[in-house]
Parts: sequence; structure tokens; C-alpha cells
Amino acid sequence: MGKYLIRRILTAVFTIYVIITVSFFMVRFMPGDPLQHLVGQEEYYYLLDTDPEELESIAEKYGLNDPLGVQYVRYLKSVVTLDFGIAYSNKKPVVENVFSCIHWTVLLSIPTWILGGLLGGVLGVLAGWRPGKRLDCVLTPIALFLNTVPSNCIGVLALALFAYKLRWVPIGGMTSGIGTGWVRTLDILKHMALPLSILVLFRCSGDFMLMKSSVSQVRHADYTTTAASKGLSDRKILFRHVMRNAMLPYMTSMCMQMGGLLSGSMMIETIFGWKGMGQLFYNAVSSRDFPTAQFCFLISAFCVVMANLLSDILVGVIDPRVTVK
Amino acid sequence: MLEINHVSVKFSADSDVQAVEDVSFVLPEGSKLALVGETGSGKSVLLLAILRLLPETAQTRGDVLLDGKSIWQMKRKELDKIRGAVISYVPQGGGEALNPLMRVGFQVGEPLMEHKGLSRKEAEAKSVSLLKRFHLGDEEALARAYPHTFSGGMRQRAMVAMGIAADPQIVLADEPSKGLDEKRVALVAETFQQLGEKSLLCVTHDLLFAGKISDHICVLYAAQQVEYGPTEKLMSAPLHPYTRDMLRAIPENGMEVDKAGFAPAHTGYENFGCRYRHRCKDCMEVCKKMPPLFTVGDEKVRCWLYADASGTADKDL
Repeated sequence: MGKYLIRRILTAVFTIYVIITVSFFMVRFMPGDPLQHLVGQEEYYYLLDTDPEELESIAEKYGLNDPLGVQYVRYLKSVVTLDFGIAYSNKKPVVENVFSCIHWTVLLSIPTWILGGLLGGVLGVLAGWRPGKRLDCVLTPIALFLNTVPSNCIGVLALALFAYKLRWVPIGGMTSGIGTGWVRTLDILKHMALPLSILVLFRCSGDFMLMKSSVSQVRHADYTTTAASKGLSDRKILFRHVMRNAMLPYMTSMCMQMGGLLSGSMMIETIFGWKGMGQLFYNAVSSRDFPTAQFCFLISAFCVVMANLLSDILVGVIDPRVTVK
Repeated sequence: MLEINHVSVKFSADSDVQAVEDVSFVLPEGSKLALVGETGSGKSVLLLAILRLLPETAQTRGDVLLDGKSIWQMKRKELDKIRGAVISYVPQGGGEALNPLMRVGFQVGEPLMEHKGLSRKEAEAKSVSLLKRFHLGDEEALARAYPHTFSGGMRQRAMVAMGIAADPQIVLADEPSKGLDEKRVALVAETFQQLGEKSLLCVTHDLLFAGKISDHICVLYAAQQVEYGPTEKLMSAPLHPYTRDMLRAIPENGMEVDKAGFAPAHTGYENFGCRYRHRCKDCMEVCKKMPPLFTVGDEKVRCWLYADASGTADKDL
């Protein structure tokens, strides 16, 4: 186990290093002068014609004239010190921009992860353990439907029905900017209701299908028959023998979802005007705000690698076959 | 005493699959019976059916009695008290019959926790001494190990240890010699010879192995019982042409194998006549009709050759 753990951690650290390096060189090797992105295309050509020296001084300021190696080392240093520079879009530090968004994303993503995971997992176990019974017959078609229809489609329809037509919930945004304390909390909850419900519904249906198929597979495994032959009750068979095996794919999936907790759902955030990480990333990419986009990318890559590491460790703890080479 | 009364098992898929058809025999206390047959003859399904371990899709007819009481009519709670405690099941060693995520010692000792009220710790300690009976070597370490570190032969012996853990009266074993080399087969046979007073119902496709461990043999062919008799008699003077052909196919007897055909598929059995008909060297006109189970002395055989020799024919069919 110790050796396995060390190998996994080293792999994760190396992966993050590679991601940082590749993202650095990818940006540098993109066609065109980086100054173009920095000052904007029109401004760039204007300056190129009228004031090339100004352009040169900007390049100097951002260190774009230094050799690639020097730039690379400086970049690594900035990553380690978490200094990701100034956003092109609003000239504020990138980190500050991100921190003003990240809590809104987490406000949606963590409840989605927990509620969707628990609900989908539990219902999936029940449906998989008793296939063809009422619960399975009702839930499986619903889950299949949700799994095949894109979330943005349902999102827009729900918005039209519940927010526009029925006026149960606000049409978008996170708050109405009124009140403090309880009033504000209630206001935020009201804004959260629809996007959160949709996210939970989708997450739940995915986890439900995964858990159901996993349990129904393990239910027919030889060792389940063996367990029954010893005189174990159904409950002991399920919780002692079946669940442990059926949990493996579910746990891996839960860890992977954890990796996405900070990146947010771009679709849902855009539809509901939710100013979270998903929207920040979306806006950064469309307005060519490279420092912001790069930082968002790094956060999401870092989280995915960490989630991978966590799932490797957890699976290694539960499944003895994994830790042997 | 275990009585198998006219047991049939059918699986309904696109077309019905008759896996076991009207099989009856008795397993008196302390006796050892081998169920012999080729792949698909229904022997493993029959074994699973006894303790109701088949999937829900299986349709069963007939009855299984334990000391006169029907196992098939029992409530689940009652059945759980029989499973592992009075009748135990030893699964095939090849697949994942042991839970891959649990230590072997725990799994071997689990019936003791279930039926003898032992704590987990006590059961695991007991499992070491159980494993020791089957000479696995360094049993303490093996009890703490996981199944994937075991070889096929070790797994098989560990599962026999698991089967006898709660000291049952009857052991049902499914192909315990499958996929093992000769030395390991001999080891497993030795293991079964140590069962002593316990009854054994062992499914196997290996006639030689059956000869070593049983006092009676029941031969199944295409879901039906074709011959039943004392092991010695059946091995030296088989009655049914199928048993004769099977014995001739054993390497020691010249390995004479007629590759002409296989058993008929499990569908469309009605009006088929004797199911061994198209492979049989003694096939006659009458074989287009299904022969009943004739009784010849203390043996039973499903073949028209013995129509005259038999006193009574099993008219149930």
C-alpha cells in the first residue's frame, strides 16, 4: 500500500507539472503575436502603425522579449507563488476575479454533488437489488430520459415554465440585492432553487444508472450465490457482500465529480445568469482574457488530478487487487 | 436424508430452455453420490436448485425434501437456518466464488458467525484450524490474504473448508475438480474422503474422480437421468450406451471418443424420443419413443435395451 501510495502521489505531482508546462508552451506557440491578445486586435494594429515604441514598451513590461526559458521560469515562479497576473478584461488581479466567483459556483456544485450522489446512489441500489419491481420500473425510464436530453434544453424549458409563466422563482441571477442576514439568505435560496433542482436531477439520474447497473451486475456474481448459500439474510448479502463490490465504480465516479466542483456548469450558469466559475471561464475564453482563462484551466486541471489521486487511494484501500502490481 | 422428487428446472428466454427434467434420487445419511454428465447436462443447475440458489428467472417443478420436510416450501427465514448449517454448498473454484474484496479467513468462518453465534474474531480464528485440515501451508497468513492471491487448487480447498465450517450434514459440491491438474484433483478427492459421516452430493464431469469419492453415481444426459447405480457396478459394467461411451473416452480406457455429435439443444425436446438416439450405436426403431427409467436390480437406466430385463418401469414419466 505504501509503495502504491507514493507512486500515485508522484504521478499526480508530475501530471500537474506537465499540465502547467504544456499550457505555457501551448499559449506561446499559438500563431500571432501575444501582444495582439494583450492589447486587443484593433489597438494592436493602431499602435503598430502610429506608435511602435509604445507596443515595444508593453512587450517589455510583460517580459515578452525575454528568451523562452526565462519566461518559463518566471511563469513557474508565478504559479508557485499563486501570482497569476492581471486580467485583461477588467484589469483586476486574476485571483481576485476568481475568488469573487468561486463561492457562487460552490454554492451550487457542492449541494449538487452531495444530494445528487446520495439520492442517485441509494435509489440505484434499491432499483438494482430488486430489478423489475415498482421502483425500478418508475425510475429507470425517467433517469434514461434525463440522461439523454441535454441539461441546457431542460434548463431553458424549466426557466420558461417556472420563472416566466408561473413566476415561482426569479428569472436569473443570484440575488435581488436586497436585505441582509436571513432576508438575503432566503433570497439567494429562491434564486438557487431552479438551477440547483435541475443540476441535482441530472446528477442524480447519472448516479442512479451507474449504481443500478453496478448492483444488478454484482447481484448475479458467483460470490453473491456463495453468500446466500451460507444462510445470510438478504440484508446481510446486500450490505456485506454486494455493496462493497458495487461501490467501486460509484466511488470512482463520485471522486471524478469532486474534481469538477470548482469549475462549475457552464451551461446552467449561463442559462440562469449565475456568475460562477463556469461563466467566468466562458467569458474569459470569448473575450480572449488569457491570464484568467489559463488560471481557470489550471484550477480545473488541478482539481481533476487531485480527484483522480483521491479515487486511486480510496479504491486501493477497498480493493486489495489494485495495490499489487 | 435428502430426497430429490421429480425435479424439473426451466428457464424462459426467447424459447424455453429445459435445464433439468424430472430427476429423482435419494441421498441417505452418510452416503456419497456423484452427479456425472457433460457440460450443459443440467447437473450444476440441479445442485443450485436444491438450496433455491437459482436466479428468479428459473421455473422449478417437483420438490426437495430434507428429512421429510420440503425445502422448497420453506419460508426464507427457515431456509436461511438450513443453508450452510445443515446443507452447505461448495461452489466451483474457477470463478469469483469467493468475494474478491474480503479476506479468505473471514469468508471461510462466516457460516460460524451465522449459525454458531461466534464473533467475527472467533470465527476467523476457527477458520485457520479449518484451513489446516486441508494442508494449505502457512494457514495463518493465508487466512489474512485475499482470494486473488490463491491458486485454483488452494481456492478449491478453502471453499471445501468453508463448506464444512458449520458442521453440516450434507455437502453439495459443484465441479470441485474442474480445471485442476491431476495432483490437485487427487488432493481434492482426498479432501472429500475426509468428510466421514457427512453426506456428499458432488457434481462432476470427471468419471474417474467420481469413482474415487462416491458410493453411487447418477448419470445425467440432456437434462435427464439416464443411469443410476452403485459406483463400482456402474464403473465396471455400465448399462446405458452413453455411460459405456463415456467410460471408453477415459484416457486409461483407450480414449475412444466419437466426435459425431453433441447432446441435443435444450429446446424442442417433445417428440424427440431418446435423447441419445443419434449418437447411440445400439439405436433401434423403438428409440424414437422416449424410454422410461427401467429398474434393473439395484440400478436404474433409461434405455429400451433393458425393457425386458426390468421388473418395473417408472411409470411417472
